[in-house]
Amino acid sequence: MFPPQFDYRRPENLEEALEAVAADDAVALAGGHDLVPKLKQRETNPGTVVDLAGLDGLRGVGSGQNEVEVGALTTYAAMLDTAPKGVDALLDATGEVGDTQIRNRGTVGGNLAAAHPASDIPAAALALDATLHLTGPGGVRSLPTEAFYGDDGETVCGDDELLTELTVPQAAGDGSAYARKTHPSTGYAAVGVAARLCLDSMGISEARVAVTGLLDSPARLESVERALVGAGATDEEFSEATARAGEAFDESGVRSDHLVSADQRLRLLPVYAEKAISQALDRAVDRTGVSA
Amino acid sequence: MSTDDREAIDAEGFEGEVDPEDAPGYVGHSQQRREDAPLLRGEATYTDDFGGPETTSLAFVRAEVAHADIVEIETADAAAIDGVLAVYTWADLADGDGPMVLPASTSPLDVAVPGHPVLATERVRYDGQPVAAVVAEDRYLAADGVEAVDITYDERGVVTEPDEAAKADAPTLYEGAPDNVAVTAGMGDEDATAEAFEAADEVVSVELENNRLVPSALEPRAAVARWGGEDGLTVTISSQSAHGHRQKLSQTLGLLERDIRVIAPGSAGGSVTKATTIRARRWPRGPPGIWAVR
Repeated sequence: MFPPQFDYRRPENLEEALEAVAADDAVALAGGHDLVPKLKQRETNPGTVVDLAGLDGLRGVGSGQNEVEVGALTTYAAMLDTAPKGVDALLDATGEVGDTQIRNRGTVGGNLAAAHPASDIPAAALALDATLHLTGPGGVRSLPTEAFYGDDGETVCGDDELLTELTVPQAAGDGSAYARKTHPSTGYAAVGVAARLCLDSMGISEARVAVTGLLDSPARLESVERALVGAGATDEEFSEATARAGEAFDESGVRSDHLVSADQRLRLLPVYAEKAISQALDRAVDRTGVSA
Repeated sequence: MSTDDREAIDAEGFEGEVDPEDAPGYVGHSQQRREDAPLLRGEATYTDDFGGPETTSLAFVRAEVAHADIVEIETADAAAIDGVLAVYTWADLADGDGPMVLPASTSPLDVAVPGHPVLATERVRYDGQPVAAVVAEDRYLAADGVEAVDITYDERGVVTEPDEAAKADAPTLYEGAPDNVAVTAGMGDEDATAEAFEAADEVVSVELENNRLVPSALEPRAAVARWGGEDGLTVTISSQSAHGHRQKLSQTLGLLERDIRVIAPGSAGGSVTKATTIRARRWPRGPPGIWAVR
């Protein structure tokens, strides 16, 4: 449990940080919950660890034009303390991460960039249609969450780029939620589902539902989304839409390990999809007063 | 218990609760713990605090297979690392002064399993068994050394369930116990028990599984060893059984108990499993001074 030797740099501004991470075999350190265990297990052997702790500008939650701006180095605890309106799924997911100590240290951006297949935040970001902003030597490029993650558990973040900000749209008339089955010994999501629903007088006008823990990368439940749009708010109709959530996935592509089998994850999926969707709907009804 | 329940209890107390005013003595009272203050202030001394600047670090290369013959142990790369002082295998220890084998058991029962060599001899018999030991200037270099040791195994069959291990076709772990049974023991009155079952109105049968215990102390197993020449061996160890360790060290190293002093300082947790690593300040007469129990 002793890491190999590495150089340590602690840049004081983003420019220096970008220059430092662009070096060969340099890795960025935010909260460290992904990197430090890998170092201690000697699963990674970077030449340089670039500690981002000095980049105060990347910390904090702000409001823009109908959107919430989350600096990548915002801790989970700061996110929960700030509790911006209209991004409930993100707050639900943030509250599920680890325990108090972990939430005091771990960062929202670090969670997204580490791309652990069972991370909570990516599912919420995907359901809320968040935009991820990557800063590199050529400036900032902004990607929707789905474009940030490949299918293989990797991200498109370049070696010379840093994830610097997350922006989440706030819409009137929507409600969102995240629900997960927590694995009792690891604390990770066996399956976690985030949902965002928009209501109008006709019922559900938009739906985005995303799952984590199931595949190597977060994924949308498009068949469920299609079934929800236009649906009335009866329990039976949701159950019908969510019960078939697993059918879209080939079991061979579903994560399976000694903790949770693929079959079990697929069985959990409809249950937690229904929890997330029904809570998102309750919240949407509360916000809009529409009784769909 | 829900938060609501807790709030209700806080507000009203629960049925049967003893008012501390009415319960003199220990029961019903919060007790002032005497040992906590130095722990909370960071003033406690654990094994790691006893090393001193010249202390070297020892780390083990452990088997990554459960049952295998050791074909080759390649230590040259590890030994060549700057700061790695020595790499030992059983071949080095076998020529030392002491037996370097921990007695199998202090039980009066007839145990068919032989003693446990501190490093694996020709075969490993469990995942994690120490196979080589690396001594280095610090623990990071020791870990580098461990990573650089390359062991070639010829794997043998494994079983993970006691029932399976006792079957005729199970791989044999020790030649002295060909059926993998270490000890057979009985207690009580067999005839009387059989009679009681015979006379019972109903007999219920149940299979009991004795789960493996894996205690995980906050302070890992750790020890500091100092060879003082004629003053003998001093071992500071995170453990609750100083006398037991002195006896085992004596038997393993071939030293008299009177030449060994074992000190058990503050320990962040114990629970039976405490004792693997040792750090030696100096190496007396070759490799001894090192030992490992599991």
